[in-house]
Amino acid sequence: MSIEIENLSLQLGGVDILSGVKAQLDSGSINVLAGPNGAGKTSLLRVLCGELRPNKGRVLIDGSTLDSFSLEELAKKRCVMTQSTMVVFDFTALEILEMSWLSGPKNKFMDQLEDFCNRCEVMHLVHRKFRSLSGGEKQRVLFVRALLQVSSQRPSDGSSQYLFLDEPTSNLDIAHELTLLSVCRERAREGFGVVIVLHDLNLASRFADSILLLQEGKLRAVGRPEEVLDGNVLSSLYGTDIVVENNKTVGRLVIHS
Amino acid sequence: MISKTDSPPRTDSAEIATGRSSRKIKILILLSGFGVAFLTAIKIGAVPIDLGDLFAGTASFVKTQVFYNIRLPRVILAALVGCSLAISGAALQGLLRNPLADPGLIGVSSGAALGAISMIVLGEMLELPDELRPYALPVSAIIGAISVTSLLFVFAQSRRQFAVVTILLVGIAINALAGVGIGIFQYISDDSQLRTLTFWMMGSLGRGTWDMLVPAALLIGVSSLLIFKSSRELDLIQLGEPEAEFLGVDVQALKRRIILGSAIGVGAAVSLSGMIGFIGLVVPHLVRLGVGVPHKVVIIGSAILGAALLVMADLVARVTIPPAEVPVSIITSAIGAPFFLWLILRERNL
Repeated sequence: MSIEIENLSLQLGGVDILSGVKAQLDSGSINVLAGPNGAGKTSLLRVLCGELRPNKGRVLIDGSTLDSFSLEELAKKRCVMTQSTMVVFDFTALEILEMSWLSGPKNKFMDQLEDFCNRCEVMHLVHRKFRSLSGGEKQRVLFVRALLQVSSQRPSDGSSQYLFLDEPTSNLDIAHELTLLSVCRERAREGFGVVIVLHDLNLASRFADSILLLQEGKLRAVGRPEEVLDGNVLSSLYGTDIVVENNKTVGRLVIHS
Repeated sequence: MISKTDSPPRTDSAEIATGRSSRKIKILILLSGFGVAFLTAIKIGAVPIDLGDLFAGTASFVKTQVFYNIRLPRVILAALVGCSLAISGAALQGLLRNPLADPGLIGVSSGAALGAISMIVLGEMLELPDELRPYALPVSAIIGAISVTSLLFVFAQSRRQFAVVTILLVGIAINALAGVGIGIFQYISDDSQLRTLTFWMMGSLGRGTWDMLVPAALLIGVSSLLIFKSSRELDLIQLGEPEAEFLGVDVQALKRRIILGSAIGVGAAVSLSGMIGFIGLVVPHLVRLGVGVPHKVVIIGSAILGAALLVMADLVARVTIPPAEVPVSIITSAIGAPFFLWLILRERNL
């Protein structure tokens, strides 16, 4: 089970955003999309989740093209957490979370809601107005919302499900960053395919099974963190000196800039 | 992994469930409020009517006639129009994700008025069969409302970031344009048409008759149903259009349904009572503040409160200087306009 990206190209307003991207994102693993600003990470994610149509190439999810799924089928197949969500009216956080309920028994959904809220430490926020939450608190609520959408209804035929997360940790403190990515790790172990746009290369090195390094809409490198995270490659990619150290104390690559 | 010393305490599901039943109670309170408003309004007027006498059959002939042919249809019309304007306002605010959207402010009512006026002035040329005539005015008002709402969407979508301001500005432009159209029709209309038109434009619920109520109730029923059935989708679109689509909502279909639903509601209301402002703005907000924000609650609550409010406003309009009447739109605007200003202040602070 996997997402196959076949020779993908995307133009927006006459500008090449993505060109010739080929990759395979396996379910049961965490795939990180990294690269400098404007490299096309978010656009690639938006194509993968079906929001943008590529000009060339195609995306296969478990062997079927994106177009072959209905909106409802896709909603059960994958969830998406976008960078920012502005809510105009005073919904409570709980009401926002409940929007993820698609079908099936509601009490089972609520049990799961409770579990995830406790796991991500948002239980104390559920009765607060969503608009009154801080940026980080909103982000945690939206993460739980996304998780619930696919977790509450596992497919009976054993087909895989996917989480698409666009910079889910951008407003989080260090502890909550780790919690969120640990939850992603647990989901991946349960068979979910996780695709995350992430700027923090240290987090990527710690949690990713595979990293896709993008540069100006092209795939610069793809592979396991130790294959992709190379000081010279990163230095030229970001245009600043970056040193990658294999730190024996923590047992992984540490990126210094 | 990491251990946190002050992790928040676990909460159980009993705590999650609170707040649900209190909404039902609040809706029931609204409903009984509507009941009181309705009973008061059918009792009080230029001719006071004792309901006890009426149902016992001891009321005078005149009082019975006034009650069944004037008072009751008028109050029912007020309830229908109030309900329809409030539901349409709730739906448009939800769809446009804009708390300032009101059928009157954003030009939908003007579009409906222009449609209705063109039918008053040009309708005779169509030589419609008699049985279709009661529907001609509402239908052309609905067409006017649909055109304006669709136009609003074109503008709201091209510049999503500025949707709040854009929609109000487009509303001003549409109101002005509709004014031009209405002026032209006034100019080319003959004396009797002009009289009909002028009375109609002043906005009154006094023209409620039973044979007008049937098509109105039918159209407003269709409109409310279309909107109510979309209440979950209206909730989901609050997360944003792409996000709603990720959750399985066909956003374009939702837009078509809400545009059609609210245009039918506003068109039917305007064709019956002329332009009555601010009900569609004020009522959904009061419901959100007092009952809750999910659209299922907002729509049911707006239907009841909108009906109650317009019934009361019409009562005030009837009893202030009897037997003359204050146009009901003056009453609703007197309440609504300051409320609108307060809303702008409130939104600015966010």
